[in-house]
Amino acid sequence: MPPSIEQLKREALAALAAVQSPPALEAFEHRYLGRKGKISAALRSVGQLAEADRQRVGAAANALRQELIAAVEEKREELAPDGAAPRDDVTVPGLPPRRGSLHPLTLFMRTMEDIWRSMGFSFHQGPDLETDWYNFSGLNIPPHHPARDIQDTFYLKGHPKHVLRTHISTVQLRAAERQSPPFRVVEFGRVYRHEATDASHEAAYFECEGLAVDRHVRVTDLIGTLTTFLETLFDRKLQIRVRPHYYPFVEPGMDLDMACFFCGGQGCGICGQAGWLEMMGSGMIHPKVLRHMKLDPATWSGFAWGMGVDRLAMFYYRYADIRLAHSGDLRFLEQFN
Amino acid sequence: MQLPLSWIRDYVKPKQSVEKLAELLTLTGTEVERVEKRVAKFSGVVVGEVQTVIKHPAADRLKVTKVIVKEKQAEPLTIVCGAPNVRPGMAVPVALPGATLANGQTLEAATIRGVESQGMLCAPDELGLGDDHAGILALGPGVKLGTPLEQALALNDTIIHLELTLNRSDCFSVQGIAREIAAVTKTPFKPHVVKLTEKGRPAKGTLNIRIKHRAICSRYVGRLVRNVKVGPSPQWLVNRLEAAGVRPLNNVVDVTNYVMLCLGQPIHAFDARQVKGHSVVVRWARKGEKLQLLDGSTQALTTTIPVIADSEKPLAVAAIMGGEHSGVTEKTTTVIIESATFDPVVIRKASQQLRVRTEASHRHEKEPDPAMVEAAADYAAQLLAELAGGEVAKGRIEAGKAPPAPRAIPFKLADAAALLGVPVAERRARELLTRLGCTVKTGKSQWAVTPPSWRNDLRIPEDLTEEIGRLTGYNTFPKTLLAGPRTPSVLPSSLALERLVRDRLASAGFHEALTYPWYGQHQRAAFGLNGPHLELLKPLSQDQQYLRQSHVPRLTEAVVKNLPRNDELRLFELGSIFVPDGKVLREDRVLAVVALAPEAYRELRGVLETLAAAGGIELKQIIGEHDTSFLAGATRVATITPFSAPQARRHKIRSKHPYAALELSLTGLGQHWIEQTDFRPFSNYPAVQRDVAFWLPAGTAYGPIHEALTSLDPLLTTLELFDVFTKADRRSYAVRLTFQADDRTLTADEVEAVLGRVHTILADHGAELRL
Ligand SMILES: [Zn+2]
Repeated sequence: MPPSIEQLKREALAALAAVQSPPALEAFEHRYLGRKGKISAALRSVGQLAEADRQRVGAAANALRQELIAAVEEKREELAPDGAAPRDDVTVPGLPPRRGSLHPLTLFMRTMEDIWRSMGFSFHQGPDLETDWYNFSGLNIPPHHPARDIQDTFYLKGHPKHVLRTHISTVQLRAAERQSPPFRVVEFGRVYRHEATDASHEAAYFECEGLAVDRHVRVTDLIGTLTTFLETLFDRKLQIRVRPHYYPFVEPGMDLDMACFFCGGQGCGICGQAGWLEMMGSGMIHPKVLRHMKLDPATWSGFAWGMGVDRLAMFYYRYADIRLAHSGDLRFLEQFN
Repeated sequence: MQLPLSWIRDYVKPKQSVEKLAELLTLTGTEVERVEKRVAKFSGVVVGEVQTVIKHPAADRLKVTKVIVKEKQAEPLTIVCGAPNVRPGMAVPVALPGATLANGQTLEAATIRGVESQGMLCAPDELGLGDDHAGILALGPGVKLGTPLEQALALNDTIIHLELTLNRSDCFSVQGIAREIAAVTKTPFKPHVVKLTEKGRPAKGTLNIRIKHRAICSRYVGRLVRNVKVGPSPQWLVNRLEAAGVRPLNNVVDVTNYVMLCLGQPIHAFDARQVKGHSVVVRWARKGEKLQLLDGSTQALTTTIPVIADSEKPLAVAAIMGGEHSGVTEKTTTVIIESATFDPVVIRKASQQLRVRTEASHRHEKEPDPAMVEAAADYAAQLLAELAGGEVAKGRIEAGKAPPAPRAIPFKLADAAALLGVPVAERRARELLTRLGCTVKTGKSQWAVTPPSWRNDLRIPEDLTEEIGRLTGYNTFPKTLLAGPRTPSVLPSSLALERLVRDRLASAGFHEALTYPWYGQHQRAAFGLNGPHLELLKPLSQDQQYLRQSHVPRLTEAVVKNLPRNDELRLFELGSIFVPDGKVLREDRVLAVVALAPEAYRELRGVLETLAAAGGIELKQIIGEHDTSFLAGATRVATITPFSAPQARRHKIRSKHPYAALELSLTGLGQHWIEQTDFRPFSNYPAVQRDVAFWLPAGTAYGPIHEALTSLDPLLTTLELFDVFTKADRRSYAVRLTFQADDRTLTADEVEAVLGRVHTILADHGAELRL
């Protein structure tokens, strides 16, 4: 250690030893460690030294500074009278950590994803812009089939072969291109309907569709799997009914209804007095669609289902306007996290 | 579709209550939306007939009428009335003393301006039948005097509202629903029987029918009815049409609607006088032909529109709508009835082209039962004879051939049981299929099942399996789980990346939002989105015309919306953008993050850098005029736009904080992403920290200094810019440097040596050390 620093150290330690009170300690800090204190002065004077000494002296001064800071803290402890310091006010409310949030639909879809994963379903992600084949023809909805009417399709200017997918049943054909059976696949994604929006209708919303293909898949598997899913999702025994319904890409086709949460099945405005809420459409994959998947219907069978995520989320979180999801309002977005 | 139960009961009489019936129908696939029970809102009102009408002696606006409420009533009732439409011979509702009206008022005999009124003639609103108060309700012919009005109007009926599926064309009729009810309740079905009396010269010879273009129509049946008197329909018919939601017009038009509702086969009626050359031709329209339709519109026809024409011109657009000119009017006396089987696709295309949809066209699109063609023509003729005094000419005039009978479906019971997952007894399967009208030829391993003519939806074995399933009731099925092998479920890397990105942002204080994937010219101009966009053919509105290429316009709107309640805002959205790339339509998954915060730009850049670092990606910055981009390899993956204060104000953001937006292509990021799973050893030797502070002239970039220091020496492991402030024309930067070696404790000399080189770099970049 250079003599000048050595000397400074001795002087400072002696002065510190003499300190007996908090004000004296403060004065010491000011004199030695302050902006215009002795250590700073020593560091400044380094510039005037010969090139060879600069680094050595500078480092020593820096080290001394660290040493003195530690010694001052020690002294401070020493001087503090036991228990005399006023206790912190423990009645003040907490300071919330800054945190963001995931969209309620993201949270809801993750909840659903987790259940499907636990049941052995893997995930697929397809495009929102689809060709006629994946959205319609391949799903047994040929051109001029009346079923095209109820789909309220968005078409694109200058790209007559494409549509914004009207349902996520497109996964049936797409998933089969990537793997050979047996497989169980789910897709979550956005779908588009040319429809005026109101409290219960959206033009762009999310759907979840999945399918299971294997030898000997049965209607009873469909009912059992979907019931298990819904009961896991809502975490209780549910009253569920299966109602035959027509979808061109399944045969037989059926809808799954749940007793209305809001009225317990008595009938109310939300269930349209029916006492039942339609949860999802489903069915056994149509032999034609299986052939389009390049699978032989004599060997393979499967079931598929689809449901509107936004609508189901309204029941799950109990809010009444489907448009809240797109509102961008933080008071909605932050909830449920 | 809605139908009154009383009408259905003409064909089937189920024992179940209507509620039970509705449930049974719904659970077998014919969804009952609701059951509407109609109840008369009055009592004590009967059917009467006005005999005479004279002016009230003491009041100009009032009339004194004589009304009878039973046949050959010796002393008619005297009733004072103010309605303008009352006239002798009119059938009217008569409220007798003691009657209760819709508003709850009880009627008593009263003296009005010196004349005693023994009752009241009622307007529709007084009976709770709408709000019409313009005149007395005129009842149709054929109602017996004295009949309680609720009975005469069939008001105490139950209407079933049905939500039918597209495949079941047979259900779009009373007969069809009755047949379905018969099948699901195991009640006998009574088929419709036409009782027709023919009279006068045969129709053949009076009229020729020709199908010129077979692609349009496979079979056309005509009936000729002479001496028709067009007038109002009898009340019972009016009641049924109204209960089915169809507006009554006159007896001829009402009959065509009635037969269609009853049997499901659309019927059209032409005024024979307007058919030139005694000839009806089914053909494609010719270029340049025009036709004024019954709805008043005039359609320019093309060669893709099928028409019914006479020898000169089109009379009707086939199966869709009749022409005004050949329509039935009060002067019509001879009616041509059309009942035909048209090609569903031809009709559908024409209906779309003309943008005209009718009850007839939507039934033709679904292929109604071809076996009903004759019966419907005959039934319409019968009703015209009964209700309009017509004489039905002998014989039908027919063209074309009936379509071939449905083909037998090869059916294996074992396959059905395997697909359903429940055992199906042979006898029961046969009984169920027979109940639906199928002809079942059993065989050892395979059956031949021929569906009835009205079930064109039954085509493959699985269709029959569904019939067995739905009639058995899916709710009686056991619930099973998939038996097959399970493979581990793994998120695809693209989805895993999206999950990671969302989680990181949410835990860093950003809120996920969701916005609509389209915007308009306004947003494009405001955010300089000038590249070619995909455009929707029919957008919901002008500001939803283009598919988005950026989430920022809509996210900015969300920021503005939340501004009144928040000082700082941090939002993000992850979703697709759409870019036309020549003929290829590109779809990218993009993360957009916006921040309104004191250090908006640095926060967003921090988000970007830490995300890139997580995937082992090194970014290279490119500075643009208004924004700054970042490359991963040679691909541009991200852009940060710091908005100037005036720009932010133009977007309606009024805040003391700066606003900035980051857009990051996850598709691009994913291509360079390397999953960081290998352990990276860390040093167990002490680190030494040193702070340096220095001035830079305003306008001099700090970035190059940072970059130079970062790669200066392996011992200088991290550097963190922790304080920046501006004073006059200089800006101060404070940087914390950390020195550490992997294999030893650094000596002061080693640290000082590097620090010396730091000072040199600072000086080289024009920095002035601050002490
Ligand atoms: Zn309810």
